[in-house]
Amino acid sequence: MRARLEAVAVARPDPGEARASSVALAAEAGLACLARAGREPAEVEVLVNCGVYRDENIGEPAMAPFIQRRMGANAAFPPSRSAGTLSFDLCHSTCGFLSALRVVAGFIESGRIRCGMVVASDVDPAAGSRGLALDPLGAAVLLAAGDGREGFAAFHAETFPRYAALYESRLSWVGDLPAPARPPNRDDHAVLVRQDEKYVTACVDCAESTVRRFLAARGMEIEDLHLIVASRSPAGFSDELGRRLEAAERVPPPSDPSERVHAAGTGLALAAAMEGGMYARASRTLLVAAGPGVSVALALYTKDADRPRGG
Amino acid sequence: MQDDRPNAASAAQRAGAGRGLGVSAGAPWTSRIESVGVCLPRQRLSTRELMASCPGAADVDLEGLTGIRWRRVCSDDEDSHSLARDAALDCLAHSHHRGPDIEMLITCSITKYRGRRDVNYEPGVSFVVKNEIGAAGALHFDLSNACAGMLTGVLILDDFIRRGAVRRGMVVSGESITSLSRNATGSVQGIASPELASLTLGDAGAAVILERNADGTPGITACDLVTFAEYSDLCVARPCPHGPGAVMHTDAKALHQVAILCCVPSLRRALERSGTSWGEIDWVIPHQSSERAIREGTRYVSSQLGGVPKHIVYNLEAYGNTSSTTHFVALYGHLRERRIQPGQQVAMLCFASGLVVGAVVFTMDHLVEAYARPA
Repeated sequence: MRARLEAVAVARPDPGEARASSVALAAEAGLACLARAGREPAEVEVLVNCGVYRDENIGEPAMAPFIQRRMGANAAFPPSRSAGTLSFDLCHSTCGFLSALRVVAGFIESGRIRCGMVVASDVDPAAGSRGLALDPLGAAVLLAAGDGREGFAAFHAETFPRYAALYESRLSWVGDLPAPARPPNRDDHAVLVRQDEKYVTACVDCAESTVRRFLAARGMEIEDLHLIVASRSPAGFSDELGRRLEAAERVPPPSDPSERVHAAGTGLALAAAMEGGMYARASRTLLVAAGPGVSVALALYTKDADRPRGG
Repeated sequence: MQDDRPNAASAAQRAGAGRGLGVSAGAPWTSRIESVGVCLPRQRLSTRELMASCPGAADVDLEGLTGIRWRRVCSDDEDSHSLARDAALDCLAHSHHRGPDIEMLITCSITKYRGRRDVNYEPGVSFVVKNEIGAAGALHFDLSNACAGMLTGVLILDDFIRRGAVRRGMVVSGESITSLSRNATGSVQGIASPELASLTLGDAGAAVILERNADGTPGITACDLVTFAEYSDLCVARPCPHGPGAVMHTDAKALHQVAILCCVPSLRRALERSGTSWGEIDWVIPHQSSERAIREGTRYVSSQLGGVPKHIVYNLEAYGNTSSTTHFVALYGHLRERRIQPGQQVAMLCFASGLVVGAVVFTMDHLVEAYARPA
């Protein structure tokens, strides 16, 4: 049973909102997704959140239950439909969206569930983070069991640890540091992000080589792809990857090139492809994400019954 | 090519057996636990010593309430990362596999401390651990699901193995979680304090390797987890506003009450899919919260499902509540003491913040042999 993409949605905070909530943005995107698919929240059997930067830097429980509750997806006992909903967080930076799709698609393929959702949202958890450049955004993708004619055909991931030091982030206790060493306005914990100037180029290098290996192993070429959905994070990644692959015309342009996103970057790119009509016309779509590590994640989505070799 | 898919038919027969995550309906393979590893910090802290540092809890008999006498606590050179790595290495030491054989690695720590003041965000713990144990080619990600983390990791890895996406993988967690205890000592005021549960915690690392089951033994027969998010506020941990580490507020009484109520349908499904009953389970390994909670919980479950399991596993006295690692720390201890025998059925029960409930059921096999010889 192949997992089919049923709907994609993004959510942005209201213009006047003082501080965006990662839970609210993810839930809003999730509910919009369900509305587009004509489904009820209770039909979501697995909900995976892959956002990294979250409200209050909460460590326990996962953020997914808060999102599940806000969406009204089998939150109370007994569940309103089926056996209920399992929700959890999967953290894999900007590759998390594709890793989470891989997990949910697997549950559908193995027959454990018929409908699952991946959500992502990132917000600056508190004023005073250092190096965290984010526009709050939520994204959601709804997957469901299909009829076999379309769905995810293959997933792939590689890591390049020699680039591990190019992007590092942590939540650090800064309360006892002298004032010049602390982020402004912080005297407790602060998110500290360090991105080397070579980071984006390394992501593109690694993604390009991974894509070429992945396609070659399946007897495919870039020309066989109708659409390349490259994550909107890190900034500049999708445009540069399109140029490197000599397929810029098959990478959907961003609705707002200046928007800075993180884990939701793949969902945002997918939404742009759907809104612009490119997704509807594509029979073979490659989703590409790269992030800290450097890690690269790929997913091949096809709308024909046959899976490519090695899928 | 030889067809070594021993459970293809039975899995298909179970396809219509109710709903829930329990078991892959059409998957051709099954998985088994191939190895378990643990890393415990060197330093022990007694409940008596801990309570002596809680001026507001002089009248609380924590040891009597919970059965916790000792817990391990990290020294300055130990943290979530080192506990996860060393548990993973211990797991490999008991395994027939080497690091490069691991095709998938999931870390499930709630705490992700590097040192005492830094919580690691990116790259993730799984990225670091897989490279340190020589599993550089493994598919990896971090997972967060409170104390249900490792069992959620087992559910996912079991699914990958059942589908044939990987042949083997590792689920790891390192919990340096006693900063919550340290930060609670000045705040706890009596038995109803929302930070009292923080005093039950202990540090530990644990790891488990699952592999494709090729010898026809049952292996893992069900993984069924459900989140009842209406109760997600009952236990929440945040960064401490006054110092390094975190603080956790728990309504322990309410959490316990809803957990035992909510777990029954999930546990019933897991038992049915395993073709067994509550009374036929040889070993129940509950989440290690407190002895009283475990006794009351199992009594309630017995009243709902009928029968009484042969053994309930407690290891609270020595280790306290080691959060996401409790089930595998307990299993490891029983393997080393050679208590669990091949053919016996084991049910790991999940009660976690979120609220996450459920069970992983498996039949013990020749795994015990790895613990009958020096690692």
